[in-house]
Amino acid sequence: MRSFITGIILVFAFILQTTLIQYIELWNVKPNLIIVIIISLALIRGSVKGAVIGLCGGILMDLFLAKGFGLNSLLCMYIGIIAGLISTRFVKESYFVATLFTFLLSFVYELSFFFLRFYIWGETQFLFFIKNTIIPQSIYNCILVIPIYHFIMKINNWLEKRFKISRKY
Amino acid sequence: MAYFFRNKYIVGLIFVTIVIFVLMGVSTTVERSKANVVEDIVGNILSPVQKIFYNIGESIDGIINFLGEIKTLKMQNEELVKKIDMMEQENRSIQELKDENRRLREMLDLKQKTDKFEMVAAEVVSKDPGNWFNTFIIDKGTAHGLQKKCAVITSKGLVGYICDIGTNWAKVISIIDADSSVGSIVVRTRDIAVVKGDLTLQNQGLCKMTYISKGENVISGDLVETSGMGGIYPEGLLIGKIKEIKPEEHGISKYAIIEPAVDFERINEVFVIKNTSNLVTE
Repeated sequence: MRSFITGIILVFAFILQTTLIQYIELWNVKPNLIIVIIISLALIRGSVKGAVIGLCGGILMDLFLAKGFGLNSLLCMYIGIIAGLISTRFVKESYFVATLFTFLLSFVYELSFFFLRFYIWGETQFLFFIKNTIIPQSIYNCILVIPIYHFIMKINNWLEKRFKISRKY
Repeated sequence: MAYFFRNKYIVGLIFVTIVIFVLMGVSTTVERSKANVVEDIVGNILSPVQKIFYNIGESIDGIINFLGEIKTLKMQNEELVKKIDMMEQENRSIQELKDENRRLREMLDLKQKTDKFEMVAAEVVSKDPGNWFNTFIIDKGTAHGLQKKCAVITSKGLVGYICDIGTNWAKVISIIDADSSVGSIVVRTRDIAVVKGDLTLQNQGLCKMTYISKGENVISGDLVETSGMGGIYPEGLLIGKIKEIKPEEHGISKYAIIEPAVDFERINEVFVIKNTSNLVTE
């Protein structure tokens, strides 16, 4: 039941990301809902679940990429693991932790994506993209994480309650 | 080291990582004419849902634009009425006839040009999730007679080509994507150049025309068309107009920033040229 709902959340996030998110662009940059969801879920569920969720989210993104499969899957999986490891060392239900690490992890994700997909193939304007795409997107993501983290925590609590009740019977 | 291999999660992680590396290698080297089964199924399931959401977004955008415009509409209206009065006096019959003649001629030309195209109308259902690419998915696929490398246009001009295709969907890579390049020609001077997508410009909806030699006298405002060379696009499709001309860093040639005729931010209905492969001379 839990993984089913997680799957639904991921697919729904993906659909929103590819259709409606483009209308809320700021500074010509759109936020990445999928990364935000992966980080929030991993912060709550820990590193093993985080890895699986990250992998699934990454595969979804990769399937719709023009060419080359795998980069998103790999990066998202590791982002999920790192977020999960962080959650064991910090207070889980803190919006501050969520915001801070969404910023850092989005930054790391976008930077490594840029580096592996473009920089090593000859796109050398590093600072331009850090300034114009990577940092704005990371900021946008960590604004977005507050409502999403809240929403996911609500769902998680609800599921935990249900799960305990059904275990009693 | 032995500890690491005893931990099943770490073994699993290493395994998954290796599998993805292998898939990465396979996907970049294997040339295929159609998407694989998994991609096809995921695409077939998701694209109808995405289509609904895409249309919702569009209508909301339309309503918001409409509401925002109401304020300025009245003012504009008054201004326009004044203008129309003036223009009516100016516009005498000879001028009108001249214009009409030219317009009809253009329409006839256009019809002759597009007559040889067999076109299929398609709707955009979704765009790529990130900020690094400029691709989108349309709602027609092999079931409607399309194939890989068909050119995609709108009524305004060139959009891109199909880079991956499933039964009921096709992935279109637009001309402003960093991976795209189009053989092109400047209409006025007949100078040949290459229009390329550029990573720094694509989020503003612009692209770049490179390899213009210094002697050529292209100016901003010149129209750019496809030249038919390069094996993907048929000739004579409008790409856009030159916005700005700048010297290249090394000084040997110059490049131009192109404003495409198509607005890639608000793209909805496109036409796929079904018989692209017959029209292209390789």
